[in-house]
Amino acid sequence: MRGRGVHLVLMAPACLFVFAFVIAPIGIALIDSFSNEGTWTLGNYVHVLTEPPYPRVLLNTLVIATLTTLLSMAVAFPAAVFVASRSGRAVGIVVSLLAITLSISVLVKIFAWQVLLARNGLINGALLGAGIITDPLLMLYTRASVVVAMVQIMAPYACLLMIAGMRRIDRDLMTAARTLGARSLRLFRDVYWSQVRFCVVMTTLIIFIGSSGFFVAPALVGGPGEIMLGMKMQSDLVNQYESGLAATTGILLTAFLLAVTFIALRLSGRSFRNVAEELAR
Amino acid sequence: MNRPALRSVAGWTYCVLLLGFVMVPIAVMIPASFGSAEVLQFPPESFSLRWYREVLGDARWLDSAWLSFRLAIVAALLATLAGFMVAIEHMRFGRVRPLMRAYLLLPLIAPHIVLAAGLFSMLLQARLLGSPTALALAQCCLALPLAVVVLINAVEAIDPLLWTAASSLGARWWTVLLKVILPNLWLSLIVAALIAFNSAWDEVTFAVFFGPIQTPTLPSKMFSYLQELINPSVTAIATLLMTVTIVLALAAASIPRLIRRGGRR
Repeated sequence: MRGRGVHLVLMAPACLFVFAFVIAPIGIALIDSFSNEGTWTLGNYVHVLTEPPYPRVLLNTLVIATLTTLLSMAVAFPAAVFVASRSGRAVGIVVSLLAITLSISVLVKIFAWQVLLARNGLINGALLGAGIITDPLLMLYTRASVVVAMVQIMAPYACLLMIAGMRRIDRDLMTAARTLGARSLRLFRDVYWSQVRFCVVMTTLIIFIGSSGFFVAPALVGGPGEIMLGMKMQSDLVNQYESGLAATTGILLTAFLLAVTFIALRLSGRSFRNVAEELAR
Repeated sequence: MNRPALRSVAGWTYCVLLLGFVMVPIAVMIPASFGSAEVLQFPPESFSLRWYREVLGDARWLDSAWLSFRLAIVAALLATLAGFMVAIEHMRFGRVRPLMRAYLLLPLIAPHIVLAAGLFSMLLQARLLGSPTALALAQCCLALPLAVVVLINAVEAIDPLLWTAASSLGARWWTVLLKVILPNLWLSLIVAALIAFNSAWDEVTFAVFFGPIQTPTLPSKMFSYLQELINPSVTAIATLLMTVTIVLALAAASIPRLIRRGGRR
């Protein structure tokens, strides 16, 4: 078992899979986005950036993904800080409950919100029954319902990713700084934040990428006003076989996310090589 | 109460609230699925297995479940095999480089809707739209990074000298693989396969974009149901789905503990 041939054989299946189902589709989408009926054109981009409903859809995606990311991080950060600083049985229980929630199908989670928030759903039923309201509240198919459902899906990811990152920090450094007389603010900024910055920024990035590409939640609990990219792409493709526009929106999303990734790497203060190593762990 | 104790109480309370927010909405569905009324009730007025009977007696749901199962098996086996080969390369020939590992993690990071759109037009041209094989391979690619991560971590726990020792004693590579590596790795291979199976079994985006249409996969069928109406029968499906996922996830999570215990013995 020697020679270059063996390396090739061992790595080829995995590499080919990723090439065929990640690199090739993005390449095809890139070509599709610049062509229309056989000619090279920027028409698709002009269409997507100016013709309704596309600008609205792009804006929706941006706003909903940003809201989801900020809320998920706000909800998960305190829990992660706390859990990462503890040890013992309770930590294991919290982490495994979060992991179990993660493994449950997104569809099941979304459906649960439909059951709770619908006009004749459980919350309205309970409120009506208790006489608190007289008419059912409109909760489902609003922007709030999309964001709440997405935060429920993303918060466990954010929490687990941050706990994993925060457990690696050097606690002795904090104690040392405290004994040397550092005040709380200084302690937080110079000792704590500098150590957790990378993992917080990377988690935010991962949650943002995940939220902006989300397809299921907005399609099932969002109203007609909350259409996000994934739904528009699906209806263009499946209903109209319109691959040019779907490809263009996909490429715009990819380009935007790459730019965001670049900025996030700058913010986290590490190089790409570093991050690749970190991710690979 | 002193300050550290107070902080501890506040911290755990917050954790419980967070867990409540992510878990309670799901839990509410389970009792609802045992109701008997035409509309959803919580708590249900009377308990019955009506919706389970309805779902399990419906050939269309069963066909979808069977299709999902076969696709997930294929995806899990292929992803585990490809991941195993990467892990062997990592163990035998030195580290798989960070850039290569980042490349193999791409399916986890790249937005699935973008991949789905590209794959849609590829498959359209190849006249393979709706092909179960194409969907199984695509879902296998999504599961691949999970298998790679699990198996690379697993081989890192194996002493690389084992291989050298075995081969210096004259064992050929297939003997080393079968007699030395597999006995050390088979539990991790099961973990990788379980995680990969779960990921394919629950996959929605690809299935909805370019999966089979006549008999859709279970998630795809559930997706189209949820777009239209809230029917109590879906609570039964969702509860069944959730049970399968949780059992598999628990199995995958308890195996590493088994490995550690085995190592101590």
